[in-house]
Amino acid sequence: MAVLPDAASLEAVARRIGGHADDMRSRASRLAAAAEGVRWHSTAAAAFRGDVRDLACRFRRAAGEIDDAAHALRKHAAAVRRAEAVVRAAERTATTAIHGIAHVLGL
Amino acid sequence: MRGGANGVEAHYDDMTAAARLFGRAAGSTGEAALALHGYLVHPAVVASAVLDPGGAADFEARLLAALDGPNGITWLAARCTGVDVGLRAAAAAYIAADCLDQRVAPEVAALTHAPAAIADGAAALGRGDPGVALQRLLTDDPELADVAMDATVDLLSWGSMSRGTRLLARAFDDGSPRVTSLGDDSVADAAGPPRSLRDLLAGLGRRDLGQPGEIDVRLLVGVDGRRRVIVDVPGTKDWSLAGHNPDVTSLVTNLRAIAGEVTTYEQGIVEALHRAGVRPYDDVLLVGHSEGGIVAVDAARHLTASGEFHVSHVVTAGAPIGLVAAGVPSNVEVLAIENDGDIVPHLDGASNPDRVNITTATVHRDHGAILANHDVNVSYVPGAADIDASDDPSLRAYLAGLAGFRTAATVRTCRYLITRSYP
Repeated sequence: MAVLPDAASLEAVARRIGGHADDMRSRASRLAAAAEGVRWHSTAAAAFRGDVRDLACRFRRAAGEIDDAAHALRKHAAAVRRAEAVVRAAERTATTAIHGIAHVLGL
Repeated sequence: MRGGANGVEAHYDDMTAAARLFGRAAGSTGEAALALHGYLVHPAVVASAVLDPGGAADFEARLLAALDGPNGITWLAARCTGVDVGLRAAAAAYIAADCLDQRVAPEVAALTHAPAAIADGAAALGRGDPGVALQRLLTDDPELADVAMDATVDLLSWGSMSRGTRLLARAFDDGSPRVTSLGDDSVADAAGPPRSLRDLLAGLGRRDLGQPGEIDVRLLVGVDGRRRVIVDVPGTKDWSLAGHNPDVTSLVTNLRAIAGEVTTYEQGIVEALHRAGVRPYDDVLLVGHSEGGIVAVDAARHLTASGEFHVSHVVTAGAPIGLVAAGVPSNVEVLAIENDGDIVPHLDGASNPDRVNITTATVHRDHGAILANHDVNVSYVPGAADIDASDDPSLRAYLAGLAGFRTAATVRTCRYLITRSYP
């Protein structure tokens, strides 16, 4: 069965991708907090903070899209697992049949 | 610092600390983008597509959209770098504007060597326009871009600009060239062969107004019957990093070319030379603007090594060739024209090599705006006229070497469109 795709590997990749999404959310929070904490007050500073708030929103949106990709990969892994089960069952059936034929032929 | 221009309050240690945070965020986000791109070709994903092709395609489409779509991870990494650079420049502007005599963080100190530029930038900041402030800073003293790029590369922990761009470029497919003839440019030919450096740059400017990926091969025949060739290579027209982009002038070419790699744009130029009937022994002059200049220098290097064509001269305008020019052979004469208000030649964070066959000419055509200062027609054609009028011995020697290209009897301009194709 080593030639069949490995659903467990796909699930592991999905977990790692999900981890990146979590990192993105943490990064968004850190950047937004840092921008608010800078002792800088002027019209330009207000514009800067607005830009960073917008950037943090985009980080969170990107994190959501990465989560969607991880979810799609988990669904794909489940489909692969089902296909794997079908192939394994077919293999067992074929092996049993070959053994039966060999027994009949006295091999 | 307190009470800066127009009563603002700014603690530049806070600003530079925040800038460092954004720099680190850019690095981490860039690394995440590379790692996530790697999952698209992960062996388990590739192998599993046989059993569930629809599911695999859905995953890849979603991940690609998250990475390279509008506001994707790649874009976010670049945006963080922009905030980092902008904050540092703003802090530097405040420091100089208030003429404070106190110790500053080293990276800020490195930015404070341009008082006039910084004062202008501070004034714009006082008006509450950080974009104009940064633009004013960079156009008044483009060397700030070198410092900023060095800092960015350092923060990204990529070790060098070349290595960094190579790493990033690896994530984007450059495809293969498709070259289409667009016919002759009879209007340009009616004006006759070029007679000056200004005419040469005007030819490049004319091609720059064409569609993305449009180049030309100008076939000159001298009074002695000898053929010489000029190739006009315009610069970037598409700044996206989207995958499978047919436009060869897109940012992917910049990343690969600045790392000295053979690009699809360059391969298309070579094919156009073949199609135009250029012979291996014809003298070729490559004229490139911005990204086109980097591609021209790379092509000169690669073609000299292969012997496929004889590139004798390269003229670049507003091109960051500091990294790639070091590999130019000694028998190729390079003239790098840089407008002193143009930040683009500084984007590789490296100065041009000081060598006998590499002449860097700085022209002074400041329009106070990044795009205008970089524009070939607005800044570099007039700048070339200034060089024509210069009595600098190095420039006179370079122009003398171009005599064969400036005294032709006839010219025929063949236009080609280079696009990327993907299997």
